[in-house]
Amino acid sequence: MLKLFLPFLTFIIAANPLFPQKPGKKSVFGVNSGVTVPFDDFADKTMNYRAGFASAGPNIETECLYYGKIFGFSSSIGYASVFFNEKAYQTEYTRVLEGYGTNVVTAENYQMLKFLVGFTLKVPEFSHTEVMLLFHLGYALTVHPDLLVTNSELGEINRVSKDAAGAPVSNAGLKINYWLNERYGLSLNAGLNLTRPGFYDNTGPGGSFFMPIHYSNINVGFVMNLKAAPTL
Amino acid sequence: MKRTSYLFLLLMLLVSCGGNRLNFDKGIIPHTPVNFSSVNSTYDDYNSDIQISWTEMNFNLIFSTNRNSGDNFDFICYGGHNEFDLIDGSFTMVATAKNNSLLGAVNSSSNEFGPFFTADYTDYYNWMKSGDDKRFFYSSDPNGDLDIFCCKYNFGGDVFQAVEAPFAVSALNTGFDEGYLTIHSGTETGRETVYFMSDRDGSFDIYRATGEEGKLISESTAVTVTRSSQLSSGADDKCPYINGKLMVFTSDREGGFGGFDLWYSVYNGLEWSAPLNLGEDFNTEYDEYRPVVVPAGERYINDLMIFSSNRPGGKGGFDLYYAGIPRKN
Repeated sequence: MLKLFLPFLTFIIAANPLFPQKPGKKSVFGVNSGVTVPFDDFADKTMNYRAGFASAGPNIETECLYYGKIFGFSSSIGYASVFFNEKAYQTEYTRVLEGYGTNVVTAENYQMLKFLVGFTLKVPEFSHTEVMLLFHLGYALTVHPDLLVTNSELGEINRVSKDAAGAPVSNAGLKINYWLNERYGLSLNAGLNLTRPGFYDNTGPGGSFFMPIHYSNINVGFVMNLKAAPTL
Repeated sequence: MKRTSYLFLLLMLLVSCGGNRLNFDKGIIPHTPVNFSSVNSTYDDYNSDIQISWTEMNFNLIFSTNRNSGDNFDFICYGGHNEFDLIDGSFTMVATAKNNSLLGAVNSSSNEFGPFFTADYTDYYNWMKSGDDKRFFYSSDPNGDLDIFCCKYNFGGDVFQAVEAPFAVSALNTGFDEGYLTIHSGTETGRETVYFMSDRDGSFDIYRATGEEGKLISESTAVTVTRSSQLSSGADDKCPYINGKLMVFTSDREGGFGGFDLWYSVYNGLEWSAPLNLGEDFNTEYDEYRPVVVPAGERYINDLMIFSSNRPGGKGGFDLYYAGIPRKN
């Protein structure tokens, strides 16, 4: 992650003298939507420790930004629904049980609701375009889905009841705004999110477990500069 | 600053502790037979009995083998560890040879087969006053034919200790072969009931014996012995072993997959059901012999079965195999 952002940070500092512009601050409201892609253990689809069997799903975010030439503040609220890959889970049970019986997996989706605040660093606007980095911390409420696995010969093998848990969340992202005019623009967002909530498992001997939830959002949306005068 | 440090530490603890999501609520012993490679040799290894502590996840396994002399069968003992990983679903059973002074008292220059540990607890036999002594039944052929013997022992500190010399259970023995005694609890109050194999009527069949009231079978002199027509056939029916209401045994009767196969019957409180073949998951065209079923308790979905087979793919001769068997009790 550091490797990804350090060159960009260097670019921001170096690029500032190249793009002199009018002083002025923007207060921006944005809405964007796109795809949530799980990664690391959360996306692992083998029966390893911490494997989440998560697959890509949709998300929606709203955001507020207040920034000047380089530095600014931002906050966002986002909701993501990530599919539980039932087929991969079923395949793993078939592999582990060496084809004994027929396994049936029923699962709902993972759901994440996050509240973030943080700061932004951006390259001064050029050709109606702003490129910025976002660094956020916040709180995420994650819902672990209802999960039931049965085997035709052995009966119920695994059950995890739906449970919601909150945990701190960290987020880092890249945002590109293209302003169509003084007031409205389009945005492209990409962000990484890390949280690790703890859930209850009433039917398992463990009682509870922690799950690393790592996912990235790739979104498109629109932005509105609240400080600009409406244009017709 | 101090407060911030504590908050940071708390946050670190929060994100670093705790287990992982389990993929299994209970253990599952693999249905496909697994060669018990850590106890098998290139010689014949069969006729086992096993005592497992599912909470401690360890066991003591005793079986017959001719590995010491290449000819004469003696008992040897292995101690081991069993474990099911509730995340990746792997089941492991590994064992290493261990000394057992009970076997020093039991092994002889004759052949020893068919070990059977009893569970002589007062809650098991509520009509008797149990001491600390337990009984180890087996069969041996010092006179040329197999007879059933008993040796009382104590078990403590993971050590088996014979408390007296083995003695023949004379009420069950004849001039023919008798062996593989197994106890059927809860059939007649106050009378110990056992099943064993014998060829006293020509072929090997399964026999039922009931002891005197208030006495163990090993102490009874007047014993009622009857051939179980429900369990026996015109072929050889051997090695009965009872776990609760389930009896497993080996037979070369018709309807099998070739050689000796594993069969089972379920007790309904009055009689045994017609025997059924355990199926092609366990049986092959080769011999399957001396099945032992051990209840695996509440932590497992199925029970453990150990049997021996001379099927290809083993270490040579008969090898011991373990597999999970659906609970039929």
